[in-house]
Amino acid sequence: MIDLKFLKTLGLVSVVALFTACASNETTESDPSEVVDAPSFESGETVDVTEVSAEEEARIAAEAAEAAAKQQIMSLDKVVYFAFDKSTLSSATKALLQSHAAVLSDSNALVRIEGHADELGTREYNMALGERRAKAVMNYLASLGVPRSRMETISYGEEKPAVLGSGSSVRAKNRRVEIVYN
Amino acid sequence: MKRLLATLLVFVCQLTLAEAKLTIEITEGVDNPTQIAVVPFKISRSLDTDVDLAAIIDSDLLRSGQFAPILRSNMLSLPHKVEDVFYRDWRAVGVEYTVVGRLLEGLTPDKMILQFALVDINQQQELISISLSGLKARPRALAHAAADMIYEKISGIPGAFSTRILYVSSDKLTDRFVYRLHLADTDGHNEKILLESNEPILSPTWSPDGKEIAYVSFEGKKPAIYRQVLATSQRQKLVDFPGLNGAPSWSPDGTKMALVLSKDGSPDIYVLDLTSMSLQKVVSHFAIDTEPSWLPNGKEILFTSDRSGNPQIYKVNIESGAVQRVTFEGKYNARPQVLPDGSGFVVITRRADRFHIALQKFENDRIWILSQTALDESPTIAPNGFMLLYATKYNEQGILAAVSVDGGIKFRLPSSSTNVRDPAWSPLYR
Repeated sequence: MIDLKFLKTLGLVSVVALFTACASNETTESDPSEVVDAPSFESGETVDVTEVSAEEEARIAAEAAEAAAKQQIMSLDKVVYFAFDKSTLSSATKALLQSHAAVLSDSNALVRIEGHADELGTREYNMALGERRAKAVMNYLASLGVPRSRMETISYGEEKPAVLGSGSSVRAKNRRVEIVYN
Repeated sequence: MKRLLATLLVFVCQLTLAEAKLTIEITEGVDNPTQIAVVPFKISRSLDTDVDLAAIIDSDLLRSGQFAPILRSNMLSLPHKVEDVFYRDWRAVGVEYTVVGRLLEGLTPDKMILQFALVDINQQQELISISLSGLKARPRALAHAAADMIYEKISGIPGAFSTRILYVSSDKLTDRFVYRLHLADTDGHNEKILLESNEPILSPTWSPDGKEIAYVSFEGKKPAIYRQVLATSQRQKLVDFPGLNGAPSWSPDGTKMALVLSKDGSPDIYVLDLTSMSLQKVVSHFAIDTEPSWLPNGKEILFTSDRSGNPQIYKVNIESGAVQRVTFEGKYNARPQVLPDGSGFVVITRRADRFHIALQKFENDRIWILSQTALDESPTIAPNGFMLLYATKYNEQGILAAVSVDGGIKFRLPSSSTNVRDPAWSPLYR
C-alpha cells in the first residue's frame, strides 16, 4: 500500500527541489515584458492574461498620474483674494499658487484665470483691475515654470460677484481671482 | 408747505401705479417750485381715445423738481381755450401759469393734433399758442413735446422730456446671472429689452444723433464692443482684440469712437475712425487708462488713470498727445463725464468708504459733491445739462437715481429688476 501522505510529501519536496535547483542556477533578472502564459490549474478554463506592451505600460502610468493630479486639483483651493484696489499677491496666495504650479507641471491641464473686483468704484476701472489681478496670478505661475501657452486670463470686473450683498466682508469675498481648470 | 408736500405725495403714488418698470420717487425738490395748472385737455369726440396728455405733462414738470402742478380737484374751472381763462380763478389758487388745450383729429388718419396754449397768469399774457401734430400710436411723445416747450419757455432751459435712456439690469438665478440691456423713455415708459445674455453687458452709450448705440458684451465669452442701429436692430461687432475691449464713447461729431483696449499689455485709450476703421492709440502708459469722455471741441478727451497710484482724472490732446492731470482733491476720482457745454465734468469721487457724484468746473480745481447716496457710479448727464442720472444702491438693490447739476433736486428710480445700473441719457431729439 502506497502511503498517500508520503507521496504528497515527496511531491512537495520535489517541487521545492526543482525550484531550489532553478534558484541556484545563474539568475538573470526577469524581463517584466516577458511575462509568459501562467499555467492554468482549473480544468477547462484559461485565465485571459496577455502580454502588456511598453506603450501601454506608459499610458497606464500617465493615466494614473493624471488621475492623481485630478484628485490633487480637486482638493486645492481655487480662489485667491486681494486687498481693495490692489493686485499684489499675499504670501498665503503665493503658497497656494505654488501648489497649483506643482500640480500643473504633473498634468496637461489648461487653466483659465478669472479676475474680479468688488462693487466699489467704477465699472470699467474695475474691469481693468480684475485683469491686472488675473495677470498677476498668471505671471507668478509662469515664474514658477507653468508654460504661458497653458494659461489664459479674463476679467469680469464687478459683473460676476461671488457673494451678493453689501458690507466689507462681502466685498472681501468678491475681490478675487478664480483658477478654473479644463 | 403742507399742501405742496401733499401734492408731491399724490403724484408719486400716481406715478408708481403707472405701467413703467422704473418708478420715480422724488426725495428733494427746489424750495419754491413754480405753481402751474395743466387743465385736462378736451378730447374731440371723433378721437376714440382716453389718453390723458395733461397728466403726462404734469408728471414731466413734477419730475423736473422745479414745478408744482396743482391737483385737478383744486381747479375752479376747466377751460380749453385762452378766451375762457378767468385770471382771477387761477390767482385764487396761487397758480402762476396755466396750460389749456384740445386734442383733435390730425391731418391724416394716423395722426392727432394737440392744440394748446401756455398763459402767464400774473402778466395775463399768452406765452405759447401752438398746434403740435403727432402719431395717434405715440400719444406720450406728443405730451412730452408739449412739456419740453412749456419747460423751456418758463425756465429758459431746453426740456429733456422727449429723451430716452439705456440701462443694464442683472438678475441672479440659481447658478448664473442674466444680464439685459434696456431702452426706455426718460420717465420709464415704453421699456424694451434690446439684448439679453448669460454673460455681462456694460457701458451702453449713444451716438450724437440718438439713432445708434454701442455697448460692451461678453456674449463671445470675452468682452467686445458692439454697435447697434436702434430702428433696425442691426448689430456690428466693432472691436474684439485680445484682452479688454471697453468704455466706448462716440466723438461729438459722430465720426469716431474713443475706446479702451489692453491688447498691448495694459489698458490704453484708442480712437477708432468709424469710416476707415483705423485705430489711433492716444494714451499709452503701463498704468490703467480707461473711461474716456470727449470734450465738445472733439480734440481733447478726459479719462481715468491710476498712473499716480490711485485713480485720478487726466486730459489728453489727441493731436499732440500731451497729457495733463485734472483732479487733485481726494484719493479716488474716476469715470469723468464732460458737461454738454464743456464747462466742467461730473465724476465719481471717494470720501472714506463712500462714492459720490461730484462736479468740477475747468476754471478751478474744486470738487462739489452733488449726491447724498453713498455707492454711486455711472453718472450720465441730460442733454440740457441740467439733471443727471446715476446708478446707486438702495435697500441692497441697484437702482437709478437723479440729481440736478446744482444739487438742489434729487429723486430715485427703483425698478422691478433686482439690479439696475449703467444708465446712459440720449441726446435731444430735434
